[in-house]
Amino acid sequence: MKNLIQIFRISFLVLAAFILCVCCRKGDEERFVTVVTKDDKAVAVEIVGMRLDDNEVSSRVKVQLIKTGERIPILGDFRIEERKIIFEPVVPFTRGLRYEVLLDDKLFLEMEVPVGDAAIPKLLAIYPSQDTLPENLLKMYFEFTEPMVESSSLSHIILLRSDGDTMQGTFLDLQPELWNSEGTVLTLWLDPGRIKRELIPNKELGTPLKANEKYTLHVNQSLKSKNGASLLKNYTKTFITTHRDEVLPDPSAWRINIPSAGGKQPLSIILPHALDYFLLKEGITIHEAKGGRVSGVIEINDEERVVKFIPNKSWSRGSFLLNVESRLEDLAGNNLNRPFDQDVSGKSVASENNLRGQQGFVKEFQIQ
Amino acid sequence: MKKIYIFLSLAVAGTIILASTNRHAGVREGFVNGAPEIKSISALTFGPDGILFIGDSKSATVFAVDTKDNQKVDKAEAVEVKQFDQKIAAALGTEVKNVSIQDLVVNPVSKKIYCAVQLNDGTAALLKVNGEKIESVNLKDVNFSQVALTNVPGEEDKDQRGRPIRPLAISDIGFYDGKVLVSGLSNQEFSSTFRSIPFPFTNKQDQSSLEIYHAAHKKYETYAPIRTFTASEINGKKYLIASFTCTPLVLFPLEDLKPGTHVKGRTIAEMGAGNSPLDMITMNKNGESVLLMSNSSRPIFKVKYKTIEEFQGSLTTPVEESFGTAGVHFVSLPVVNVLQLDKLDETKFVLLQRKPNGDLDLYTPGDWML
Repeated sequence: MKNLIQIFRISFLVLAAFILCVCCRKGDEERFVTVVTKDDKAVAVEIVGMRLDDNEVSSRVKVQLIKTGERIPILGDFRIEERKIIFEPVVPFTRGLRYEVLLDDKLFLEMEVPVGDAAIPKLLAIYPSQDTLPENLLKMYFEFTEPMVESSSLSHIILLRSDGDTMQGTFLDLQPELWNSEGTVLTLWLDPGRIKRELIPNKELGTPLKANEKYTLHVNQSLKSKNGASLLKNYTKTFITTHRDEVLPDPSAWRINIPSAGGKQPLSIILPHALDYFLLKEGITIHEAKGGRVSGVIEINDEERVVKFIPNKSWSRGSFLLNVESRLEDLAGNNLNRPFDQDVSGKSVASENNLRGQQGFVKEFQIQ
Repeated sequence: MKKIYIFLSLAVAGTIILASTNRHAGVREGFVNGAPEIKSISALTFGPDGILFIGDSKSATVFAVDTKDNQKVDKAEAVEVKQFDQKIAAALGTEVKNVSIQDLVVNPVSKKIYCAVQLNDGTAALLKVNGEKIESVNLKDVNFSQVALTNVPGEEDKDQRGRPIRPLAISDIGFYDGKVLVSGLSNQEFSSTFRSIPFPFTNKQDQSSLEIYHAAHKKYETYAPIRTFTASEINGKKYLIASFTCTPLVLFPLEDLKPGTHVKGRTIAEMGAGNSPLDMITMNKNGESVLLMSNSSRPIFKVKYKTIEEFQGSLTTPVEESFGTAGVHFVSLPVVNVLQLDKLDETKFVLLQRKPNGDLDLYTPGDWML
């Protein structure tokens, strides 16, 4: 018996798929298995050295995980291509685990799917960026460099009080967790029921954060990327809390620095208070007064207190509109139309009309 | 004469086939063959005739997939699969720590159990339980239709202009009275939405979209996210029965859920803080309907629909005692750590329970449980 390692590319099977490794055993006839990867996932194996017909392969061949206890065949599909038997499991093989290929319930060979060199994920940012936050802070965003595992995040993220005690039940445990499409940004809500005054969770458990306290947020290295790599290191963010924020964001109070025509200078908006990072990025658009949306890039600076719009094309003279979506929120979840913690007694009709107000804020400005 | 019989037989057979085809075309209107682009499976529910609705949070879409699993079984067999998660992991060629079970539902026609799992690498898989065996459900070549869950009414236009649809964390999905019901959360703004989407899906996507709040006392409203819900008729009127974090049980008249409206729910029970409801089903005990609800930090609760019908009020004052309860009477069943719950038939249900030894077992409890 002799192990062989072969590495070569196959472009005919799957575009951008590579044969990563081969772990094999040689008998009377050369026999080996190659692992096919796509987007860094081990999506199939090719088995060479088995002479079978199409109609008998699925009944005679099994691929299963090598483990203690009961072993059962892995769910997947077989097919034969150019005398190779290809097995595609329902979900990709797990890196670092060992598998066996059986023919008529006898060991044909064993293989290991190598760990690979998955990129080490880093925590790029925690939003809000400020280190002074309102006691009724509603949510935090965690932005990573790689797509992360999207379950049990709360076992890896903890909040400590200044006395070192771990805060329990601070973040809302949601399933599914709130991730962006790419799996790189996690949203955690501080329990809204505890933030809202007089609600039962608020009365029984109190608000998650107290004013004038110091807290440290720990993001543990144990948090993993989808490719199985742990975070580069432990990350921490320390912040202090200040009074409750109950004031709605008011775009009419924003200071706008208007650029001149003919260049690509940014349009800068200076906010009196920090607002939600991702809602600022997506909720602010610039339009020509008598035309379509101006294409460009939004940059958020100065701990979410400055928004810069950089146009893709040079500014032309004329009238433009600054459009702010009503869903834009501050750090406490107050949006343009309604406070997060709203007293609806006596004004329920008006507030109901505004609960999901579609009316954002529009301001016209001239470029000279 | 013989020819006439043959002709008549063919005519009858043809009519039956045609009727059957039309019936199938009815619920399968707009279905196409192919591989639906399912990016995640957050929640499942069955509709008519073996059609499975798949709630995909990543692509903010509901898929309707024809499982072709529509052989009617009247009486369900009891189910018992010990170490269910271990078996799923082995069938998928991986370890338990890499697998999370997203949802588990029973096809009401065939009584077969379907299970959605998500792997740590992000791959979603749909599985079927056949006796003690785990089978995979083909999603590569199926007859299906889909509907995108737009974020707010009127946003469809923007999406057609190429704006990416934002993900929507789907917390639960149901099918009632010809409509797919979906509760979901944005990962950005604080908004909990509930949608009622007519099925078969139409090109117009004339879905309702609304925000819900319930008053836990007289003054403050909350946009609490719906964790789980069911729908049922109460005193002759169709209601959404929803539960939220810290376990208020709230009724919303389904007829009030119209596009762009905001419906105030009637809280009929406070079932205890420090807990999240996980699953809800309606069962039948000696001709009497009962609501069963599994919880993260409490046992299964049982509420008789009769007591819900009799409770005309709305809880508007806080519960004074910590972790106390109020409102309609309910009973705690002696079974804890139940993560998934679905009905097999009117009197039998299946549950997925984390046992004290750490095992995750799938089984049908005895009749005594109800």
